[in-house]
Amino acid sequence: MNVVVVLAVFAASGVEFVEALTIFLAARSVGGWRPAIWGTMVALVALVALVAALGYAILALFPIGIFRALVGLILLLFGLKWLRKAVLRSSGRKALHDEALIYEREVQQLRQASSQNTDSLAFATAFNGVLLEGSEVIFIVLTLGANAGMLQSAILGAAIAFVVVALAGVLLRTPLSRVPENTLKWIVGIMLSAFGTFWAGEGIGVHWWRQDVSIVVLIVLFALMSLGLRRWLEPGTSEKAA
Amino acid sequence: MRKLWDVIVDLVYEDGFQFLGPIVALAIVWLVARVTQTSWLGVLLFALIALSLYLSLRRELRG
Repeated sequence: MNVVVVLAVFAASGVEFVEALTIFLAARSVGGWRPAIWGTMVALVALVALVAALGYAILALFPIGIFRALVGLILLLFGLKWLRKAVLRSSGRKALHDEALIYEREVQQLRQASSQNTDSLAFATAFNGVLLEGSEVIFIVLTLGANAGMLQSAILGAAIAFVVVALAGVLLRTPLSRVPENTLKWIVGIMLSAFGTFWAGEGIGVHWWRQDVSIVVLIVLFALMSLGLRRWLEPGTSEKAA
Repeated sequence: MRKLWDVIVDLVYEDGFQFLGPIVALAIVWLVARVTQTSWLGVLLFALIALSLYLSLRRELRG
């Protein structure tokens, strides 16, 4: 057992697990536990099948760059859609443009659409996030484990990271359920947009400042931008633009 | 010039195509990344995505 390899894989895969957990919690807040768990389970089965079938060959065969770009783009499109809606609603712009009856009808339609579409949205989001992060953990384990000749130590480091992050997820569950729905959707929009921008950027060749630390910077930037856009959209502020 | 700009924005953000903006942003950054590697590519990507969201909301305001 090599303690250095265990610690290195724990730290590296821990970051990926935290990202996967964030996406999972975002998917859960959109469509509930069931589709989020299903998306996660299907992604895990796909990853296990990939590793079982390819073994170390996965390092050479898997087009991680293209995969990152595609998953990033999908998450970015989902995230911007939620962010756009959240900004419009919180600024009151939707309610001002729509009369009460139309607004009520829209809410009803959204509720119907929610029950039909959010399941698949939550499934796709959890599936994409877990598949991408899971594949990155596999890369970390295989490369560090193979390079150091300590595959068991690498697997142990990743397993400990998984348990720690999963426990954090269980602890975070209750506080998240107390956040108002509209605010939660806004947060989900920001998170998905930030992760989507980061992954898509990595996929097309952007070298991010301090690597994964840039995700935190992007979250802050998307939050500030959406607050600025809400301010701009508030009645009275944006009459000229309207 | 402004009219041409409005036409382009309308084309990009026509119903059903409003999410073309982020795709265009990624394509631009991908092209720049092929030519030169600068540490500001991430900033450029975020700025273009922010611009696409702003244009989408502006179009929503104009109806």
